[in-house]
Amino acid sequence: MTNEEPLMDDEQAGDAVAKYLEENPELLQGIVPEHDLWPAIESRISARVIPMAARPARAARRSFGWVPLLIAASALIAASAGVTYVLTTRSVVQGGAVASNGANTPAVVPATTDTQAPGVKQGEMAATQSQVGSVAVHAASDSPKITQHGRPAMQLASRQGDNDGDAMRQTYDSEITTLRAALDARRGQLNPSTVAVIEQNLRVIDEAISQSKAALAKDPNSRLLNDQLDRTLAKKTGLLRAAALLPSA
Amino acid sequence: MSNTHMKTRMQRLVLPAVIAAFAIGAVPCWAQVPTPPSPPSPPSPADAPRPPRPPRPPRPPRAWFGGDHGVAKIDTLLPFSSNGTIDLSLVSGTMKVSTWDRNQVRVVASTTGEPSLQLDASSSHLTLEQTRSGSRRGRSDDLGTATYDVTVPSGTRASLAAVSGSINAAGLRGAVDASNVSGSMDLRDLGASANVEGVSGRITVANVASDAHVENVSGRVSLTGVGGSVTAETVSGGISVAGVRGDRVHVTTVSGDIDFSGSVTSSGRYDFETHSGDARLKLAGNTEATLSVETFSGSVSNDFPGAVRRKNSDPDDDSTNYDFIINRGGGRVRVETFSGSVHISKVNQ
Repeated sequence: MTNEEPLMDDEQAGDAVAKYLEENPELLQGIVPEHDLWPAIESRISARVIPMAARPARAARRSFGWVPLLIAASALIAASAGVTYVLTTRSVVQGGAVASNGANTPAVVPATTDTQAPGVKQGEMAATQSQVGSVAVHAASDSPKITQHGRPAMQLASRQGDNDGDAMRQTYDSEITTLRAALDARRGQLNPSTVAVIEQNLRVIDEAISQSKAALAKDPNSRLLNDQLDRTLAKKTGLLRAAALLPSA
Repeated sequence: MSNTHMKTRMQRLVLPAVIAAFAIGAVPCWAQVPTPPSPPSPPSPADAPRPPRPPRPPRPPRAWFGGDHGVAKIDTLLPFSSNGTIDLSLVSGTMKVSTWDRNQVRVVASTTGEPSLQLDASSSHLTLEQTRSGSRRGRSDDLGTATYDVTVPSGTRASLAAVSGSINAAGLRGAVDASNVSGSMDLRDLGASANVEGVSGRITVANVASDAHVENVSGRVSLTGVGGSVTAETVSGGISVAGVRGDRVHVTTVSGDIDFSGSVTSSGRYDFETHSGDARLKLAGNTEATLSVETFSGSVSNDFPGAVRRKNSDPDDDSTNYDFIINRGGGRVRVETFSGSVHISKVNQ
């Protein structure tokens, strides 16, 4: 250290470099940018790039209160089992007869709109009935899956005859009762405004159901009215199921 | 019995016990005596030295923010796969997802409430959420309002969820799943399918290359420019569908109105069902379709030029059933209402 010059601080070093560059301007000619690079540089360096490190043990991660959802899901699965069983067994046993227009079975599909032989996919039906795991809403998860002929599978199953239709509606009623109880049990965990929306839309559905039933009382063989009623019952079931699975507020 | 005799009997009993105790205690000592090595036996297949295990692949690096209870702010840039997956969820707030052409993900997130943000990212999967474990009572009130602004490679798949918030995403080429309870959702310019579910917020889906499936309860649904099939459902929310290029459309509602605008493919199927809402179909001028319209008490009107109307009503059936043949027929369109009106017209171009 004896023959060395004393160390400069940063300011002195900067001044020295600037002075040196002034005296040797040719050094800058090769590195002067053609345009202002600072905006791009700033955008790159303003966000810190994190070196990825080992993740620490994660403790008791909870979001959206999964325990109540799990309980509700269990209840819903149990509630859905009856409907699933009735529908799948009926569609499997009677198979291709689903689409046939028997003497006591109203036409499923208008002849003017369906020339293909309709069919019911059991897998679609069962899957539709068991879709209970989503956080979000399946407002009508039972009804609107497009089948080959554009009709919900549940509706087709309901067209097996009056007795089958009645049995299925009883199953709907039973499931609706169970789902309603599940929703009531979770009411305190849900946002009141969300519950109000759900209740309001349930009233809309109930009004549609009562209108369809009143019309069916006068014209019990109407395919349109039977379809409307089944569709609306399915929608009520779907809404209740989705509501029971909503994330906690 | 004399004392001497008793002593003798005791000695007879105690002495073997003491010897046995020493013997048992000595066993470990014997065990320590080195034994001469046995001659090496030929190696059996079971005893054969196992080949060395291949080294475990290195654990993928991860980034982790938030600890057990979360942080209030995250601002970071991470390397990310061009076709990775992001999983974003929040309780209350706004979520915005946009894309760029870098293999990096930029996350800017904050919350006005207690620190609750947690980010967990590998090079191909990122999770960002509001956790309740950090709030004092596990209530969303403590979480405040969160704001997410996430920029990802365009090929990213996204799962977006909110309880009460708005979700906006644009430019994603991977499939998008979005759910919300009470906020709005706006998804645009998607390169794959969109699956959207809500309760009371408005849902807008525009320019989707593949299928679009939307469910809502009371909020309005708007679908435009869908390249694949469309399924849209509500209870009371209105549904408008326009510019569908796929050949399957299924729209169903209870009391909401249905508006459909666009062309009908010759092999397509279009189903519209409503109980008390109106159904308005505005069809392209070159449409070739057969429309089957059925209503219990609603009215039916048709302004489409040249459409041939045939009443097809069963005298024993109170409902009204019309068929409309537009041009040579082709695509099959079915409309059913209970009390809602049906109006068919030509789209204004």
